[in-house]
Amino acid sequence: MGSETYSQVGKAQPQIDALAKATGQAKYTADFNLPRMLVGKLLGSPHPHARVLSVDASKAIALKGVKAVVTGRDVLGKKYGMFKSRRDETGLALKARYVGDPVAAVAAVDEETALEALDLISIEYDVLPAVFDPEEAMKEGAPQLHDEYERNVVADTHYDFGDADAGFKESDHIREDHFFMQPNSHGCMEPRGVLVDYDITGKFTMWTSTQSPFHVRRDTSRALGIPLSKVRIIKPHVGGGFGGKIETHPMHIAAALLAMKTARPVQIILSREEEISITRIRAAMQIHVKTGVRKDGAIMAQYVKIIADSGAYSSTSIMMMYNAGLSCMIPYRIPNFKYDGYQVYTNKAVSGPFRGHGANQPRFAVESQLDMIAEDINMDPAALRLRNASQTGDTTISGLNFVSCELSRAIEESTKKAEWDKKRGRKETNRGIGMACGGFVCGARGAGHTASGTNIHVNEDGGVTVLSGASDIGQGCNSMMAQITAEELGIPVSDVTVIAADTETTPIDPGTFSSRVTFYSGNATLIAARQVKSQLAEIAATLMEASADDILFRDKKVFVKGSPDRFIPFGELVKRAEGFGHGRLIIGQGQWAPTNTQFPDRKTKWGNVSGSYSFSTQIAEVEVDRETGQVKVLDVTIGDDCGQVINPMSVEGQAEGSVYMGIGHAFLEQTIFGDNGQMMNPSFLDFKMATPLECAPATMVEVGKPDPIGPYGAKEIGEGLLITSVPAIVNAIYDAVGVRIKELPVTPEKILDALEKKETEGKS
Amino acid sequence: MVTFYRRLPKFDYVKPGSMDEVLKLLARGTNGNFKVYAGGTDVVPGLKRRELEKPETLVDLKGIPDLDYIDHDEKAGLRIGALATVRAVAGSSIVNKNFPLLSQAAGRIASNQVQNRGTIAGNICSAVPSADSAPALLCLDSNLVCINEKGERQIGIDGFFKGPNETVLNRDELLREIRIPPMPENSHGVYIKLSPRSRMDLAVVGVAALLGVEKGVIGHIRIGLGAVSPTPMRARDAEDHLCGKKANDAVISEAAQLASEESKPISDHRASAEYRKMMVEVLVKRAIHQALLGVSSK
Repeated sequence: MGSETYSQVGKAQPQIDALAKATGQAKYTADFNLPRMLVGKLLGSPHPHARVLSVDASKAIALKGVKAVVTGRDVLGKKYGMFKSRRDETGLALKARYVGDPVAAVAAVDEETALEALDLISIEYDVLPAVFDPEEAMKEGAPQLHDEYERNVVADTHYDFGDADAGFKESDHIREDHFFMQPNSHGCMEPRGVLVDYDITGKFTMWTSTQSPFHVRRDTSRALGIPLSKVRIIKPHVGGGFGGKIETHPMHIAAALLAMKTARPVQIILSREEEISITRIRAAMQIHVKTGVRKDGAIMAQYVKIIADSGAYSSTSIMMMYNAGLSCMIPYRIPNFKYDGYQVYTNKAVSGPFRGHGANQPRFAVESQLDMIAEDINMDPAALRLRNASQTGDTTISGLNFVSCELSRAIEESTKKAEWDKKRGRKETNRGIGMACGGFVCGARGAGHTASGTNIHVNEDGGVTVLSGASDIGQGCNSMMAQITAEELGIPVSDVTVIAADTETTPIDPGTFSSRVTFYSGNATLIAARQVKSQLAEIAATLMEASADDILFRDKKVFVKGSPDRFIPFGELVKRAEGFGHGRLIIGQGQWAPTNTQFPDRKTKWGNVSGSYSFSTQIAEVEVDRETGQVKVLDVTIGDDCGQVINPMSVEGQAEGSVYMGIGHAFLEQTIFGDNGQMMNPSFLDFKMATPLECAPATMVEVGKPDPIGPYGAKEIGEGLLITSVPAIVNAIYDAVGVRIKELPVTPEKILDALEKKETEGKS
Repeated sequence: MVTFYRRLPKFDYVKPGSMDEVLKLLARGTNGNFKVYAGGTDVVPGLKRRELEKPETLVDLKGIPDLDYIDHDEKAGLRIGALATVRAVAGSSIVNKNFPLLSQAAGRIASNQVQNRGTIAGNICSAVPSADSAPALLCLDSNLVCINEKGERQIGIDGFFKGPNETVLNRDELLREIRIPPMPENSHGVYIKLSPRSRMDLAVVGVAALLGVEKGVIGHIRIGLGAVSPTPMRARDAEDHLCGKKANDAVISEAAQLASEESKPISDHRASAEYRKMMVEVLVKRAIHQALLGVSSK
């Protein structure tokens, strides 16, 4: 998708911090140390549901090296959270709602002492009845976790577009199926952490591993009852987020309290066990899908019902349940759609945003069912999808408007590349091929602050500084912004320095989530860079006696169009600008949010929530070992309409990441809960993620065209592709050996059981 | 399975400079006084998880000089010192040439990092039912040279394991050396590990098979099973069934079935007992076929 008219866009290049990361020079939160810094540790509740009656920390305080202990009584009890209507966390709990729920924290001179102190804190609890299953939790008389939510239903989301009943009546074939997607952990390479410095003016400076510094600032200010302007959040390098690090964590509040109490810097770095068990996980969902089709495969109506396990706190429940329903209407034209989504509190680890944010679960269910329908009506699954694929210009019954959509092309090109027709239905080989399609927002419209901004300063030597509030968590948005800036100003990427993000020095930004960063911050950067360009063009035009419209920026030179010999080197132009007229500083400022979106109607949920949408097809080829039940993914082919690719290398990284994460999710990853709701496998030994040896080669075919709204026509690829990984694999398994796994993860035992069942049924 | 790491409990630590010093120390000890460790890849996490009883003193064996040897003699076979790391054994060209079964099994233990620290002797002494080296060492008729202040004794590996995390070693005793006799004539061995992840994982079932063939007849046969009983075990019924027979599909299938029957797995979060039993059958069958292939390609 490279274009000859671009110097940077469409050119594969390593991320600007690749060298620093590869050599270990990149600094993460744990790498920062301050003089007199203390180490903080969190103490979790041993009970799934219990009121803290009293805390005796005298023995801990008496231990040499312990400087402070804080508990739920030290926080104001002011609730914070990402969504105003669902704030339910306070930092340290007075009522613990799951095993591990932080109830106290300690600061000591070193980690050993802090850990020893935890053992010395004695807490008296009033143990309350607990509930672990969402359906149990919804029943009358079940233990209630939060006073405000009767029967523990924290999100109650319904869509009713068109007339589903009528649609089912017009259908020639209707299927109803039930699916389950398991909970899993993000598995970030870097466990989250925070370092807080509290100074004499009452200002908190926090370095933290986050996807959204501005959210952490808001919540910290709220929880501690201090002005927003007294909290500064700096985001260093972050080792992965995948949605898990969007929100504020009790460690932020605890570390701030401890720093205030001791007047010393305090650092809390979560252990791997804490990272898996007391942060966020993907919500387990029971998904019921009813779909009606005509003989020709046209979808006439769909009904989806989801019961999601929220765990102990709300997190982003309302957004997740909204997205779960909404995402069902993206890839295919569905004339009548009904949805009932419930998210329910239970006394377990907290579910929250996770790459795909509620779309993965129904996508798995719907894409599985589409294959079953295809078989029922004797239609090729790819043809069925093509029959229903959304098209450019479509407006869905829920008001989503697709300004660009190459899904049909994605299906056609990827099936061709994967040799779909040749490879389908070779059951004797135990090899199979399966597909799934999906679509995703490029940043969903939020209720509050939604725009992104970029400031660009040009330095005396022509080096350029980009200041952005966007959070690079490894996905490469700093490189994306550098590339856009370099493209516009005709300079190499290596001449661009990106500073992001610091709540005091960079523009306010919602954060990295909802696949919004390239779309929003990319456009903001484009605007800022074009401002810089026009300021410089005006000066260059005067100096070279040409029209500003004819000034071109390329190869570190500023030309007059059509006269390659008439140019000023970029650095020299900047230098000359300094003394131009009464003196000039070259500063560009951009802010951007799409203008074609609406916040969805509160009642009906109608509205175009995103400026554009990505579309994807993923095809997996698998081989099943009929004796052991083990499955190997052999090959993956991807057709992804992410618009104009800015950096093919980053896009490949996202695509491969989606494939690998999907393989782990399909077969290995599951957080397991014990009788007491405690997480039983918070380690990388028992919470198994795929190693490179489980992964399959992924091939991408180019299908996207420039989008009219994204920067240079770019759209998202971070999340929309992952949601198709698991169903493609599950459909491929069915093609290979004729068994359908409806409850994830796919384990060897489930495969063998299903094969055995199939054999017995075949005989009888 | 709840594996919350906590800080290390408090204990004394000594690193004696000789075997004599270690043995003297152990002779003075009473129950629970001393815990010896080499690589620490089992002991340290066990202590952090509070799964191991806290000793008064942790005795680091890494101060004993010249105990990390891997020596080979055509007649006497292989000798592996107690401090030889998993990596050293797995990567040894001598081991690979003469006892490929052992390199194969050692190479499947945990991760590279654990292999660099952990020892083969430790893998045996921890007596975890799923220890990858155990089925191979069982097949190789290994002898374990154990030592205390009074002297040495040799224990066949078959009689070494008592139960999960339990061996016949007395509290004053150390495993000093693993001895492996030369491979039987015209024989080949393989280790097959079944685990959800192909690396960095514990065996759900581990099967080693070693067989020697004379004129088409199986003359020597050993089958070692891991993770399917309280200790690593030999599948003797299966061995007996095969010994002296011509290998064919039917005989091999019958033997695999016998191995499955004599295994005594438990159900846990990693797999059900039923699945493990089924897999013993599948893997024993595969291991024997592969071993036969190995013999015939010699």
